[in-house]
Amino acid sequence: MNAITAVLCFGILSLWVPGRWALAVYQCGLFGLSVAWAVPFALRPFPLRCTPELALLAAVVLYGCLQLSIGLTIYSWQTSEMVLNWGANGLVFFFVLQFSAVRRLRQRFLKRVIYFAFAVCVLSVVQNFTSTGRIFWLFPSGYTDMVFGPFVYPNQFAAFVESVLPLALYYAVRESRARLVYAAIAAIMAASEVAAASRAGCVLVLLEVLVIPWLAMRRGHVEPVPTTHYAAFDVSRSTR
Amino acid sequence: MQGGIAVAVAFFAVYRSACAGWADVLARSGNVVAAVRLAPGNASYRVALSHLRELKDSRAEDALDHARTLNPYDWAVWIQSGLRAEARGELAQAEAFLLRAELLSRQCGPQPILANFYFRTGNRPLFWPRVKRALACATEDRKPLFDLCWSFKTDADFILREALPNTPAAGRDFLQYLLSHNLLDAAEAAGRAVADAAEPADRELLLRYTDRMADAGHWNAALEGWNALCDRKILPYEPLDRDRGPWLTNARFVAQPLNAGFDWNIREIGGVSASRRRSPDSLQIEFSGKQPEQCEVLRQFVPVRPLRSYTLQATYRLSGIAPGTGLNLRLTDAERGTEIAAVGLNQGSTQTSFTVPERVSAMRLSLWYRRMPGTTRIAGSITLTAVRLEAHQ
Repeated sequence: MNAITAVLCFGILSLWVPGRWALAVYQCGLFGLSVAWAVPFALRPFPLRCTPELALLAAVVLYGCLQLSIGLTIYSWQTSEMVLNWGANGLVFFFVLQFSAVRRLRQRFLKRVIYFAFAVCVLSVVQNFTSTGRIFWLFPSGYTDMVFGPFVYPNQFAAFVESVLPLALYYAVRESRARLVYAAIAAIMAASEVAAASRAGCVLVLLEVLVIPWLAMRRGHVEPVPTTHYAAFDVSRSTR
Repeated sequence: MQGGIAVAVAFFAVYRSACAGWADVLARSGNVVAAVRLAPGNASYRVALSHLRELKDSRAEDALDHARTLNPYDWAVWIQSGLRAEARGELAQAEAFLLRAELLSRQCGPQPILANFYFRTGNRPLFWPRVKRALACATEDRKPLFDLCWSFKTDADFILREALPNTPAAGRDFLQYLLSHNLLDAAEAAGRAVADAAEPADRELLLRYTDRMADAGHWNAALEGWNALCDRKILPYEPLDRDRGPWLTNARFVAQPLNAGFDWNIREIGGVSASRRRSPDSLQIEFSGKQPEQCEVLRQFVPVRPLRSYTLQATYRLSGIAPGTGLNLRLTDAERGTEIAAVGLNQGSTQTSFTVPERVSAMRLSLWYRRMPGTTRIAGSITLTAVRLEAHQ
């Protein structure tokens, strides 16, 4: 779980890198983890969790492989790059799905995602107003404003916030002891979305702010299992 | 078994991803040959490799052939091949490559390149339709294409007919191009085309066109541009008419003067300030007493018919300015500057009649100040409420 979180965070923080090496590090990290996972599985198979969403992601990868194997592609290099991309994203989803079976791990992962996203949001907004387009105040992005943390395109930053905000809202409703903390995190995330000036993003965030607490309260003591899956799916998607 | 397959697939994926990443690092550092070796399927490295070779080096052509095979739908590769073939003098081959690129691209990229190709090869019949397409799809700088057109034929009418697409932006850019190159005779045709379909986006350009034409003494063209803006309500004035009037614009100062075209132009002079007042509408001009001893404070171009008689009337109010101290309204030939009529502003209103001399189609109506001998420079204000020009029957 720690390794997946680390790779995921690296993937997000290196989004701005124009060179292919950053993506290669992210992908190799995930594929390397899959080797580390597959070896014990090969020696002593254990039960796996599967969901329709995982099948959907796998189908994308398999379709790309099919294209490559029967020559049904116009540019095989690009197709193979996409297969790698979707394969890596599918692996993130797969791993999160597996360790989410354990409630403690699931909760820890989700909270880490929230804290990471919160840190990225704060950093992004401060950077946007103070760095004149430099990523982490160091690397020139080619733009002079509207550069949010590692996100060179504000709409991608908005998509990132949209995918994590529901978690913060959910915990703000469910965690009575730390309600204020999560509410503040959610509020800051929503505010950063406004700072990104993404019109569709603002509408979606508004909807999330209205709907997620309502759904959470209506469901009462429902475990956040589906949220886990969708969050992992969204976060892995937003890294690419 | 399943675990073994997963391990093998994951190892392969790590290898493939690492190769792609490292090849990119090599290519960015300039070692394209090594990048091609590491990622032979990447067409962009092959194109980069061809750039490193000499023009006649067959390996460059091999690299491009390879790139086209790898990514046959990338129009940029076909363009590269075409330009290289042209440089080698293989014009038929070059044209075939470029036309293929045009077929593949749904964007504007190949069009200007093809237009340039036909220009360089002197193929006029194919150049004009191609440049028309290029101008239609171009969204940014059309100037290089206009340069090509103008180099081929210095005839604005011809270019308008053969090369200009029916997009207002292209016509606007062409007029801008001609004005910026001081091709005012040619700009008349382009200006007429823009004026015929004038829309709010043309306001600034047509005002500039009107000014340039007026400065050059092309009064008919200037008037056409101005009237197009008025006809389409882009400017809040009635169109001017040499025969039936109105002859003056903004005669009652109902709008803030534009300082352009046939509207009032308030000159920037030290010691003189002007402001429009409401209720009633008027223009107040203040003199601080530090203005030059002789200056034109306000002017407007007036389209008129030669040899026709007119009466000029003005209504105003003086404050702190004694009558006969040098303020007057002057009418001069707009082109030559010779005086046609002048009247001093002494009472609350003034009137003068005059006949426009031969060959004068526009006058310059000015509010002038000239210090009268034996007086100090005026300090006070004049409030103009209306200026009227009537033609005699």
